[in-house]
Amino acid sequence: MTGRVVVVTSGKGGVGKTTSSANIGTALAKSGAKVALIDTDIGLRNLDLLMGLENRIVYTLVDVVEERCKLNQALVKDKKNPNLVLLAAAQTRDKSAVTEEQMIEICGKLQEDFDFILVDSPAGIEQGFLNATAGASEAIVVTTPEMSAVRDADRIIGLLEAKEEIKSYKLLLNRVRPSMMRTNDMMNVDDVLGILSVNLLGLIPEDTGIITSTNKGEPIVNDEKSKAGLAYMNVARRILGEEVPFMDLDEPKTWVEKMKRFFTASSK
Amino acid sequence: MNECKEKTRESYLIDLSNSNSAVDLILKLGNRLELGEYRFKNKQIMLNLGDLTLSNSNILSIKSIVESFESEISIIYSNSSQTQMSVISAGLSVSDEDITIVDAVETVEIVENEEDDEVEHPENVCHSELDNMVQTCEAEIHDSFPTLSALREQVRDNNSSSANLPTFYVQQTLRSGQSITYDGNVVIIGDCNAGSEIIASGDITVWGILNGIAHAGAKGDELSKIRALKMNAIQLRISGFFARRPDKLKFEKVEKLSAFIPEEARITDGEIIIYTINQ
Repeated sequence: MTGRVVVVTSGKGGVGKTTSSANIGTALAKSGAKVALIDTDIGLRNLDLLMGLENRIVYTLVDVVEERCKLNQALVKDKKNPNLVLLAAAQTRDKSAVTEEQMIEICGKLQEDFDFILVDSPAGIEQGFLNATAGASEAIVVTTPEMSAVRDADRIIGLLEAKEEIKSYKLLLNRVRPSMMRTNDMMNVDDVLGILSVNLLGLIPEDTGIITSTNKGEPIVNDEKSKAGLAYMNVARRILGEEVPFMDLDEPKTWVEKMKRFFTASSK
Repeated sequence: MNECKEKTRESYLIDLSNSNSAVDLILKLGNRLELGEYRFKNKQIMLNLGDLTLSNSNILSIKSIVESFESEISIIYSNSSQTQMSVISAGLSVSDEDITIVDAVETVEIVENEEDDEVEHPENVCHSELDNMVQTCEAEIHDSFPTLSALREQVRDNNSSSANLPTFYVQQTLRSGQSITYDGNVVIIGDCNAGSEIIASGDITVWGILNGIAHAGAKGDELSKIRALKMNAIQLRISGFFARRPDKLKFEKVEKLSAFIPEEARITDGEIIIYTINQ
C-alpha cells in the first residue's frame, strides 16, 4: 500500500499545527486507518507532549537519520490506539540536523506500512519547513482568522504552489469565534477564503478544552462532548473521502441575543 | 564559442540558451562557473535561458549553484512563460530578452510651432494632426480649452513611452512574498495579495484587487501609471514618489467584484492621485 504523506503547515506560529496534527491523526486512527505522525520541529518539539507520549520516547527522528537506530525502533505506539505511531523530534538538536533528502527517504519507507503519514511542520519558511514538506504530496494549511495569520498563510501557499510534488493543499481555519464574526470583529470565513483562494478542509471553533487536553496529553477528539473534537473528527472523515457538511458553529442563542436580533432586523 | 560576455565590470551574462534540456543547462552552468572560477566569484550573474522550460526546482538548483560561487543572480532572461513563472516563484527577477534599455522619452510627432499656436492663439485652431482619432476644429475656445489641449498633449506623451516597452503578462494571483521585477510594463490577471510586490519600469495594470506594493516607472518615468480594478495597495510608488494607504480603524472586508470601479493612479502636480475610470 502507498500511504498518503500530508504536511500540516502554516507559516505563522501558534495557530494550531501541532494540535491539528495530533487530533487529525488520532481521528484517522480511530476510523481504522494506520497513521504515522512525524514531528519535524527539532529543538522545540511539542507533538509528543500533546499525545501524552513524552516519557515513552527512546529514539527520535535525528537518531534514525544518523543511523543510531532502525526506523521501527523510533516509532512510539500511541497509548490508546494501536494504529497510531509517533516519530518524535529531538529536543537537544536543531533543524539543521536533518536534510530534505533524509526526510524523503523516511517518508518513503513509512508509506509502505501506513495509510497516512502526517508531518507536523514547524513555524517559518526555513529549513524546518523545507524538511517537513520534502516528502509530502499533500498539504493542510492551518490558519486563524486574523490578518497576520492569513498573510503568513498566503506566503506559505505561494511556496507550496511552487513545489510540484505537492499536488493538493487545503485550508483548516482554526480558533473560529462565530460571535465575533457576526459583529465583524473577526474576519469572516469568506474573507479568509477570498484572500487565500484555497479549498476549505475544516472549521475548528475556539475551545478552552484544548488547553486542558494539551496539559493532560490527551487529544481533544477523545472528548465526545467538545465541539472542537467533533470538528476534528469531521476533518478526518473528509480526508477519508466522505462529504461532511460544515457544522453550525453558532453558540446557543441567549434570550438577550434573540431579542437584539429581533430589533435590528425590524429596523432595516 | 565564448558563451560569456562581460556586461559591466561587476556583472556577467552567461548565455545558456543553446542547452538541450534543463539538466544539460544546469551542467553547463556548473562547468562554466567552475572553469572561470576566479572571474565569477562575488559577481552579479545574468543568465540567458532562451526558450527552455524550467521548473521551480530547476531554478532553485541554478540559484544554489550560483550562490555556491558566492555570486548572485541579478536577472534571468527567458522566453518561456513557464520558466518566467518559476523564476518569479523563486523570488528572482525575470525579463523577456536581452534588451537594451529603451529610451523612455519618445520624440513628439507634432511640429514645434503648432504647439505654440495652440497656446497663443486659442481661436480657430484645428487639431487635425494632434488627435488621429478625433479631428475637430474648435472654433470657439474658452478659457478652459487651452487646458484641454494641454491635457491632450499630455495624454499622447503619457501613452507614447510605455507603448514601446515590452510587457510581461501574468495570468495568476500574486501571493504574499512573491515579487515581479520587470523592465517594461506588467499586466496581472488576478489579485496581488498583501505582501507581494510589482516593480516595473513602465505601467502596472492589475486586473483584480491590488493589495500589495506597486512601483511603476521604477527607472524614473514619472508618466507611468498604476491601474487596478480595485486599489487597495499598501503603498503606491511612481518613479520617486510614493503614497500610502490611509490608516483605517476597522480592517477592510474584501468587497465583491461587482461593486468595483476601476481606478488609475498617476502623478499630477507632484503628487500621486487616484482617478476613477471616468475621470
